[in-house]
Amino acid sequence: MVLTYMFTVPKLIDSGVLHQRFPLENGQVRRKFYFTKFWHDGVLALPAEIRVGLTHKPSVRAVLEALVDDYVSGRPRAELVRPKGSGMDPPFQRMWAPGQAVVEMRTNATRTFGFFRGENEFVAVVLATTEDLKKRPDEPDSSGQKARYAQQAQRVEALIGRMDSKEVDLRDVEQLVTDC
Amino acid sequence: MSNSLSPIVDDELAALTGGAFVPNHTVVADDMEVASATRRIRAQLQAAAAKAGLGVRDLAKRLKVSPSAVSRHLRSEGDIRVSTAVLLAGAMGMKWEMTLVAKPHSMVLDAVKVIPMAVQRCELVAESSMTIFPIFRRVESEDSDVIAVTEVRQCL
Repeated sequence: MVLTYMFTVPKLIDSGVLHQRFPLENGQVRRKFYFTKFWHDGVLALPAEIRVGLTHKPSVRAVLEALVDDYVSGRPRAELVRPKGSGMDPPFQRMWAPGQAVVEMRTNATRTFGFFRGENEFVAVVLATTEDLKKRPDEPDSSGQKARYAQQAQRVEALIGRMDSKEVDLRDVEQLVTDC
Repeated sequence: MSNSLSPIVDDELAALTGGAFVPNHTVVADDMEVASATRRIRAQLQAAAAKAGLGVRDLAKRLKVSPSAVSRHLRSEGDIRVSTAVLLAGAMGMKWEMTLVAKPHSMVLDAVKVIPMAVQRCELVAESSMTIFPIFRRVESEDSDVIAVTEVRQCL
């Protein structure tokens, strides 16, 4: 008989598989954000821009870093999640069934796929660019795009399958990101 | 069977996560600060609109512009004009109070071009009563225009 070891976030941190992100500016961690090597490598692959002149368009990478920093440094919940239907793209969104255990953290150019361990504790597993996920010109419909999203979700679900069930919180994202 | 009971990084876990690693993050300070400021301005506008129960169409009607124009400004992640932010706030019955404050790390961030985000994992971090704060140690590089900063986290 082979017993599968069910992981917990603290165990994965101890193993060096997960790392925690801390606020860039001096301050306490208000929310927890853990990330894998896959996510970390994805971030490093994004372009960062050196400022030239007196105006600056933030890079794709800086936009993502700023969102993560706002999350961990405890910016107001209303700036991170909003009721659906406002037409203003809340950054955190739970995926539709059957991948509803998976949560997307969105910027215009990136999609982080992960899950909530509990209130204000997000685990970022993989990162994809919207450019890679979007419908391609040679595809007749959006089934290819849906398949690529599903593929990312399945990678998260596979990790969730190895996690202790108490390590995954399936409540609405609106309940999981709180003011702190 | 003993291996399957051990919390070590097995092949399957490595395939799911990439395996064990040491982060070697860096951010470009100006890039990050601009991204952060523009994100917060838009996020504040969006949160205020949501609090007031105003959607994109409501704001567009009040500003006598198309909903797509409002949506584009709110969803963009690039620079936002001061005038656009002021007008959107005004449409919500609000105004900006713009003030300058000193940076928490002004001595460091004013000088650096690149900030490594690598975190020296502290064994005491897990204890909830701990106060955690970063200390930046400046290390001059060969290129005098670029100063590397090593972040050392200390737990008290």
